[in-house]
Amino acid sequence: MSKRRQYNNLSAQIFLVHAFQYLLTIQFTKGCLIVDVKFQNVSLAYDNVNNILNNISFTIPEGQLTCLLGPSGCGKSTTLNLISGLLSPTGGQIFFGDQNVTKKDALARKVGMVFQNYALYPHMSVLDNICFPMKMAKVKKADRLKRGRELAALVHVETELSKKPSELSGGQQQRVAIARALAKSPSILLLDEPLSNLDARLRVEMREEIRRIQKETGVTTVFVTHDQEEAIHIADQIMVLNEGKIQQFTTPNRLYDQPDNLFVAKFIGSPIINTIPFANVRDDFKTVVPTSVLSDGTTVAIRAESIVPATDPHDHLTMLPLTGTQVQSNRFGRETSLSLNYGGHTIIADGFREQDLGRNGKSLQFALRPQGVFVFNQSGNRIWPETVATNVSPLKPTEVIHA
Amino acid sequence: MTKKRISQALLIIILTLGAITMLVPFIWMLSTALKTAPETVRVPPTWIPKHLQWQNFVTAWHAAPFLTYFINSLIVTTVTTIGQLFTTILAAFAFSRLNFYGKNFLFALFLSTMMVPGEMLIIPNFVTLSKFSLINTFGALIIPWLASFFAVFTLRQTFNAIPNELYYAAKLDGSSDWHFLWTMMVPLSKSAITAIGILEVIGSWNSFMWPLIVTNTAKVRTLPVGLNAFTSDAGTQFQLLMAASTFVILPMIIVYLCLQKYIIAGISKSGLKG
Ligand SMILES: Nc1ncnc2c1ncn2[C@@H]1O[C@H](COP(=O)(O)OP(=O)(O)O)[C@@H](O)[C@H]1O
Ligand SMILES: [Mg+2]
Repeated sequence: MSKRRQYNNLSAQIFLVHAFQYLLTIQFTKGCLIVDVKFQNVSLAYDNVNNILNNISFTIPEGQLTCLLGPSGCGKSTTLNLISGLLSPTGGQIFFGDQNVTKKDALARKVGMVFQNYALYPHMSVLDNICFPMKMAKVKKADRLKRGRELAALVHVETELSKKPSELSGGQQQRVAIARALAKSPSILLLDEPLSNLDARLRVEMREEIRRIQKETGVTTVFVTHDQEEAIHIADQIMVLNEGKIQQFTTPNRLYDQPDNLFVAKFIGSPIINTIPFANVRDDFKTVVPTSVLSDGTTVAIRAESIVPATDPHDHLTMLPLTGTQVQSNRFGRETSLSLNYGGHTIIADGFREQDLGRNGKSLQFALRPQGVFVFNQSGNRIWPETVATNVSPLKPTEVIHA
Repeated sequence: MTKKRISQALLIIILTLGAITMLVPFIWMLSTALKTAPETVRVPPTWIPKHLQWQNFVTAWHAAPFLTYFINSLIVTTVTTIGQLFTTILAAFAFSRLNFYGKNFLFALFLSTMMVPGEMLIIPNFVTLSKFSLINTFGALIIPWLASFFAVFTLRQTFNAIPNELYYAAKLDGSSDWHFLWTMMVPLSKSAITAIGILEVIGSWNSFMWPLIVTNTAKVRTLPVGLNAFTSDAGTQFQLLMAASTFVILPMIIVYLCLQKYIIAGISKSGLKG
């Protein structure tokens, strides 16, 4: 009897939570037009001479969270500022949905932006910060205060409304910045390295918060980061940039399982993927790859978890076990890390258990899993395997509630 | 521990000496203002007058149209300070945030004017004003001081320290340059602006040379010029001069005491960040 009542209570609670989230979604998508962002042959040169971005084209799907990922200085902020309208392109066109916004300024594009240092107005209270965009848009005072409070509740800073930004913790300032960015019902939410000023633990927490807020509001979101782990955990899809060029633009899993080029293979995943000059190990791959790959391949890349003991019962890439020399092994908690000398290079393997290890300096037999082994040609493009069968569906916009 | 104490004692001694050096003229002024005429020139000098001559203040006040001078000083100081702050804020914003053709050249040009000594500007300014028939008007007292590049330079440094992201954020939120300047930049630079304003108030109130040169009737003369009334061919009436000086500088001392927090904050800030 009492058990049953508990159960009913629980389901009622779950129902309430869902209903609340549904209402929130309607609430916050009200007035926002959820759109995709299209770049057509966009170039940008700050000095009109050297292109920082060179002729790039892509479509950021609507209602999803997309990461721009790349090393510092690769043009992520530049791309973001082109979307926001703070920069205008030297060449090419930018579309929001069907609308060509290339010539429109930042205000007309109605984007919300969160900066790395939050850029909160230091002399205004939290509530005034959140309400500022609405004040600029001449929303009536009572209306904007009401919505300001709702937004504060969405990002969980409703108890800090009268404080000044300097009285808040980094994570709280971040939340206020997000609320302010959402205050004008933006068509697109842009975040430029929003977590890099936070400590590691808070970074993970805020990452989940941003994910939650994005899901609840359904707003098209572009998130810039140089941290591949952050990108993998938060994004629906990731655009990897390097030196102003798009390296690959797909889902996190596909980036990991099918890197288009050596840069992506090395940038995604931890520990960093092992690379060996293909010539050193060509004989081992004779029976595995076609002859064209044997002649064109210059680098083979192997993920640490794809190197397993020869006794591993699962599928192996090569018929015969491979031989290397055990250099060193370390155990941290439940992780074992093994350094192997293979093909004249030291590679890291983490698919071994303690009992599979030999002695340092002695030869050790190992096998490769079929996944996580790639061959790249001279220019760094993947030439093998051509496609890897995975269950990843191609980009499909999730359903968005339009109110 | 003792080393720390010695250095602390040394610091206190130096600061005390400095304070005394600054205070002695004021004390001497007050003491002279309360003496009789013979006592002012007595050797050895006395610090505390035998009989305090309070009526010196009344005599001095009536010796010249000090009420008019006082009102004139008030008008000139207020208008100059407000005008100068206005031009300074606009110019500092332009040099700090806007991009326009010839910006760097203009800035260098203005910077080089800071090397021209003020005395050299007296004659050209006088000639210019007389061509506009502004001599002996409030215009002559106010117009040359409506812009100060030193103030622009100081405020530009303060403005530059405000992060660019704030400007971008405000732009995205729908704020115009004008609105951003007055609702963000100015409130955030409050202490620097107050310091610039106070320095101009003091400078303008105490200005002597320029008003003396460009005015010749009591109608537009200011307080410091009025002090001339006590100096004649027959000599100087020190006790009256000092009594008048006391009420001339009294408003400035009050202003300073009320706002010293801002002056110090503003100066130390622009110094550190510059
Ligand atoms: N305002 C600017 N003027 C000139 N060059 C710039 C400017 N901003 C960025 N750059 C250059 O453009 C490149 C890309 O910068 P950015 O987009 O900020 O990189 P990221 O955000 O990926 O670190 C860098 O080489 C940087 O030096
Ligand atoms: Mg950046």
